[in-house]
Amino acid sequence: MTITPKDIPAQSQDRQPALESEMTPKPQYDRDSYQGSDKLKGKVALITGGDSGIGRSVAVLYAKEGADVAISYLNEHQDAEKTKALVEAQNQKCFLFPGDISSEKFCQSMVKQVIEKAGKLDILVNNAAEQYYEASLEEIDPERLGKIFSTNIFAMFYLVKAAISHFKPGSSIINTTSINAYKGNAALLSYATTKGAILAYTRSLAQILVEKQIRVNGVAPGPIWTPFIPDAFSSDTVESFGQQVPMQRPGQPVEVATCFVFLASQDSSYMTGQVLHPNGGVVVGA
Amino acid sequence: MAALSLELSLSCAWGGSDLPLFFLLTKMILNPKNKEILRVILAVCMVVAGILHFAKPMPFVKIVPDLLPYPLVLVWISGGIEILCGIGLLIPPISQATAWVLIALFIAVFPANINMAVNNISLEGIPNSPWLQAIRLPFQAVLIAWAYWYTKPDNNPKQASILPGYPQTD
Repeated sequence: MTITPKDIPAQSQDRQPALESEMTPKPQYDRDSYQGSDKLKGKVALITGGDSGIGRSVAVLYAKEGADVAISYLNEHQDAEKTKALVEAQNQKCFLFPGDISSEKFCQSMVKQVIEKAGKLDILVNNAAEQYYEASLEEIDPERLGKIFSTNIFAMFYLVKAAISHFKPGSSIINTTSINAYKGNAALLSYATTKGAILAYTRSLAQILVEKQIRVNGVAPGPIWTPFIPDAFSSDTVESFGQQVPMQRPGQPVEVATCFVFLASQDSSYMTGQVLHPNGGVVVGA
Repeated sequence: MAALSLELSLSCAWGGSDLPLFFLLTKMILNPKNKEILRVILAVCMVVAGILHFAKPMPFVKIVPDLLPYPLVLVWISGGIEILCGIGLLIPPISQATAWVLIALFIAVFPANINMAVNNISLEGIPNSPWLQAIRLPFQAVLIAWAYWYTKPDNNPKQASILPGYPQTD
């Protein structure tokens, strides 16, 4: 089911991170016609921010493809329980790790526990991020700037460092960057900058890990209907969300998650250091 | 959930068309002569629906309202109760009590049907038309009425049963 901007009522939430369960309409995390075909059978994936939004959809499709899934999330327990149930409904295991990935200690202990509980780790999806609306330069608070960089990009260093010794040839790392890394975004300076860093990180890490036969790729979503949106934007901006892209509508998480399936599986075996662009038709460089 | 899966199984059994089924059932339900055959139909549907909760839980998990904890466990519990109710309807000594449990279940799972309609959740195996989702909600009343029928004592010696000794013949 696709939605158009007119399907989205004005809304905001009084908590951050926002909850998927309180969004109207509900984001679409699965497509009924999507049939798994064992593309990830027997694999174990760790997905940060896997409780909701794009991360939840990735968790559901990975489960449909036969992977066990570990998801990290900050504190959105209600969303995480739903995602866990959706994964388990596909007869796959789901491990929940509530905590703050901006702490290196947490990242290390999470990877350790994934190995203990699931036995291995084949796919790392660095997807979690935070986002703040910034009306002006003056508004940018140094402390929060440090925090957003910690969560959005430093965590990728922590997790890859912790996980690298467990990866076997054929493993895959997928990082969520953003269309904002390519186009810039005046209202999201800190966020867009971290997303640019993720792009450079993806390309550089791919060069480092190519000899270990570990592929590193990125996905750069456009305007996607996730808890991020009521989180960062004012209520009336939410109403017109998605109008600016050629398709003139927001994307659904499942329309992005398919890219993560492709990049995790052997279907993309000749790709590394690349970025896919599920963004409603905006042409961006590379 | 119960009724969703009921619909799933019924639409399989009746060739995928829900509208004729809806009217057929309503018409049959008005006729006391059909009470026992309808009991068997309801019982079989509940068992099949309950089994579906375990065999194919995904659609049921999707429509559990987000505010409820442990959606998959809730799906299993409701599925288990459906199976037990289906069997209970065919055990004359407990069939009336079972019918009350079934009514309670239909009421308990109704929020899932509302959630499905309000949030327009599309599910595998069910045509995603607003028309169908609209007719789905009042159908719950039919199900409750249907179950309510079996809360009434009627001392019918020919009550459908899987217990030995029934039907009682003189």
